[in-house]
Amino acid sequence: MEKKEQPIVKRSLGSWILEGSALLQVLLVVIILITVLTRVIPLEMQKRIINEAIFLRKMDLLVLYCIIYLSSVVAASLLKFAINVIQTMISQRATAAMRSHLFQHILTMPLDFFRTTQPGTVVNSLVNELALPGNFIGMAVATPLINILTLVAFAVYLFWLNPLLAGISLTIYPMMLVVIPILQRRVNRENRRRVNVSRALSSTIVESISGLHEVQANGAFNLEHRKFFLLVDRLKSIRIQWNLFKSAVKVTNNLFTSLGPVVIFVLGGYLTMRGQLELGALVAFLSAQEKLYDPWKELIEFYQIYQDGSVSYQKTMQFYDLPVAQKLLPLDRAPLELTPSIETENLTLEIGQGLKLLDKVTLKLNPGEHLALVGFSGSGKSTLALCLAQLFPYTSGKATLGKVEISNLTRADMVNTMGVVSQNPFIFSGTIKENLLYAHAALHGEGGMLEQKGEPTLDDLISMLQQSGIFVDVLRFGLNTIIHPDDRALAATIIRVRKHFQKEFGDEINEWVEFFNETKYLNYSSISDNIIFGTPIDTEFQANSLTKNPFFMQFLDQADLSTPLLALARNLAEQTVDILKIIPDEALFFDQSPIRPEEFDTYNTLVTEIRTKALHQIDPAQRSALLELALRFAPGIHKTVLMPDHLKTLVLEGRCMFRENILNTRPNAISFLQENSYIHTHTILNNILFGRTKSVSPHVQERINQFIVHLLVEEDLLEKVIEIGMDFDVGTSGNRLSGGQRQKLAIARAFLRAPSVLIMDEATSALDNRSQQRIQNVLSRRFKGKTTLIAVVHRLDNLKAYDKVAFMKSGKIVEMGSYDELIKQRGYLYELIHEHQ
Amino acid sequence: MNSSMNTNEECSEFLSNLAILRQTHVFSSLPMEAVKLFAYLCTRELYKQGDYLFKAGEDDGCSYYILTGSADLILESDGKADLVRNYPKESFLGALSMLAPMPRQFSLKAANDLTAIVMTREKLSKVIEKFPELTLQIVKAVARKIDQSEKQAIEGFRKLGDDVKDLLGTSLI
Repeated sequence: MEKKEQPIVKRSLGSWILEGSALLQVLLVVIILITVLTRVIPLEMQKRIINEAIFLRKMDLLVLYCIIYLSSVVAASLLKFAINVIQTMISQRATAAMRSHLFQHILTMPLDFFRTTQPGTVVNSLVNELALPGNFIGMAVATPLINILTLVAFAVYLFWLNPLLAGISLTIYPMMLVVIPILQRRVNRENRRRVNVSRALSSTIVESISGLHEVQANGAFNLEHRKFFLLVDRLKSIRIQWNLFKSAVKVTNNLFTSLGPVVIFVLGGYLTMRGQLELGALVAFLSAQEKLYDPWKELIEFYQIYQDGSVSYQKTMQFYDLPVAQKLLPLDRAPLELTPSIETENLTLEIGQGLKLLDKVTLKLNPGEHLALVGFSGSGKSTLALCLAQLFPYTSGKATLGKVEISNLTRADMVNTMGVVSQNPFIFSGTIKENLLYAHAALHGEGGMLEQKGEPTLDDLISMLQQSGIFVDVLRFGLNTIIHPDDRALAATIIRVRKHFQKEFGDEINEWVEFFNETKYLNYSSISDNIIFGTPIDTEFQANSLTKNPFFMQFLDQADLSTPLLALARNLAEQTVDILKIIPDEALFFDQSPIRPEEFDTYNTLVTEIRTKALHQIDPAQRSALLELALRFAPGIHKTVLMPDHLKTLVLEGRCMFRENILNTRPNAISFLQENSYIHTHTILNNILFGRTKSVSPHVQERINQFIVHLLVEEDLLEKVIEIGMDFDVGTSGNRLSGGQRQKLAIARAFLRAPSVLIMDEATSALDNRSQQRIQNVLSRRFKGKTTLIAVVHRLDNLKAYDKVAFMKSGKIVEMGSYDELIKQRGYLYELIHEHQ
Repeated sequence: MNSSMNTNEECSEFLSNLAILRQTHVFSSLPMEAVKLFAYLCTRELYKQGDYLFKAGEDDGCSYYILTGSADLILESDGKADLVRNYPKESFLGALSMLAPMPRQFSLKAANDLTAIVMTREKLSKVIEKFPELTLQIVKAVARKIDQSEKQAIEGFRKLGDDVKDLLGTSLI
């Protein structure tokens, strides 16, 4: 695949014509030849119908010719359809091939390029700009061939009918060949400008939208809009001109072709009157002349598509035509197994105007040694690490990995030896597990860079989760999962855990957990859950259907709950609307409210409508909306109103009454909460607790986990829960994880690969001291002597654990040695540490 | 139980939070609408004696108002833990960490069972996204507070002399 000699950005547009579609193109040519034939036949039939059948009054001939005429017209249409289908296939294949090759190329481009190129530009190139050239490829063979052949066939036929008339009427076309290209050059110029401005426009959009928080925070609405408007305005003028010239081409073309019939009427009419041309031939001539127009028009359109396509194509390819710093795979050998030693000599990175990010850095690191890079921000420590990882190119000096110059190594050599954890690791959408296996899949998975290997075992994965410290997070994700109702074995085990849990910790933990208790009001459950105290089996009793359920509504009246609930809901709606009216569209703000973001407007209107009414005056729809709100209310979570104790008592009585009613009338509608049955609508955690946690804050969750973990171990369930937790979906770019969790996941990912050189660029900056210490311990105990480590360090507590410390300032290593040596020297490091204390 | 956390059984937790926030230095100068929003968004958390509200190095991103109980501020160095001071109830602390990610320099530990009103950076920044003009007022409030503590430091210097001279000048950042 990547062994193509010519990189995609150097390929010509024409080179795609046969790419993967050679057979289809041949088939197309065959079909076209037949089609051209089917196009000429009607002309001849037309002539014969008039001259032979009508003129000589021969009915049988008329029928025969008409049948031939009809079949050739039908055949022509069917063939045209076939041609279109094949063309579409070719053009889509070509577009897909261009996109995928270009994307592959873009993935390997130097990171530097993307500092100045917005993702939007890349999106635009891949999605929009390659569509036009793709279009052209589909037409590249078929359209010129079919139309030129048709033109030639008609021309030959015309000459056969009458050479003089044919000669004169065809002179129009060469004249067009002069005028149209002149106009088309203007079209192309505007088109090139259009591509440039569109690109700038999409960059601006991406920048504004991705920095929207900044825009809003600075109130820079007008500033951003002005930037956008200037470009839109320019694009508008360019597009107008572009279309203007495009239509000019069309209009000129139309004008010239309509001159054809005039010539024929004048000259042909004269010849017919003189008896030198049969009437049938004149009719045939006129329609042949008219039919010249279509292929000609298509040719002109094709010419335009070719021009547009090749402009887009060249602009796109030129844009990405930068030398790829390293080859992906060595062509003639397996990826190198390099000794993990690192040496640099006068390593320098200059970025123009004499500005040096790295200035003559010289260092030596033996296999298994650990080096800490220390310095102020901007001192070049991250740059040095990235240069050694081949992610930044250096401009002079030497840098070797296992005695081989780093710039000469392929990417495969690098990744075979080296792992990198950056400060802001990128987490891909998918599950924890997929992210953990990302590096492994890239290297050893299907189509990976290195030899295929089986997936790591669950034990390996769990051990990495523990080493990186993300284990507790994954455990929490697992515990907060609702399991599939069919997983009965798991449910049964969880119930066993529940029993042990109640026995051992029931008392210790009730500060943080509200246990389900039939005789107590549950502050952290909704009023409807308090009444029903079970999981609905009959869907009519699901929380969102209750106000439409006559049985339940009648029950609320019987239990004297309707009126107090309405009063509560009214108060609740008024308060919530009052607080949130200034920001009604942010989901986070609705976590502590029974109103959902999408319902805000409804309740806002409702509050206004019922403001002056007494409770008995509100209409049924409003009543049902308010009751719905009341039934969702949980006083432990929704703090805007207080739930009076007498209402809690009333609800508790209602719970009893409801159960009686249900058991008498619809015994199978509800599965009541019981200590020995699994609650399928609740999370694993709630099922173990047989209750709900009172707080979502991490310190509470952590404390509860402490109680639970050893019970899970006892029941041999810990691995299972972790496995479930590893299926947690991290969201787009991992946005459901905290910064610390993202870093821990990235570290686990690197540990799993166990590379012989590891580069950590402030990889633990978002972690608390304990987590950092844990990771440092793993590095010191398990990696020292085996893995060569270069760590860009932002905190100075763990420096003693490193074999060498290099202090960097303005791109230079100003001092290097063991921690103790540097402290003795009383140089930069000493000063920095001293200042920190 | 959570309901017992309410200092005042007459009014909702939201209203009592509102009354409290209106008297803290960060929130007091903000418009009423915004303070209401903060009062609604903050949560009350229970900490048992010996629980940490945050630990050194951790970036919890929260501010705390101690509602009941008290907390010890602890400086850990080389395995040694020094008690810096005790924050009694009605103290408000941690405003800076709501504004920007920063690992804690100290640890805060519940000296006895404690309830705190907790506001997170995530929530604060969502509100600020909607009302950018709040930023300036919060920054002003924080600046005043820094200036105030500098005054205290200067008083300390006048009492203790040269030993603490190096520590002066925070307000000049």
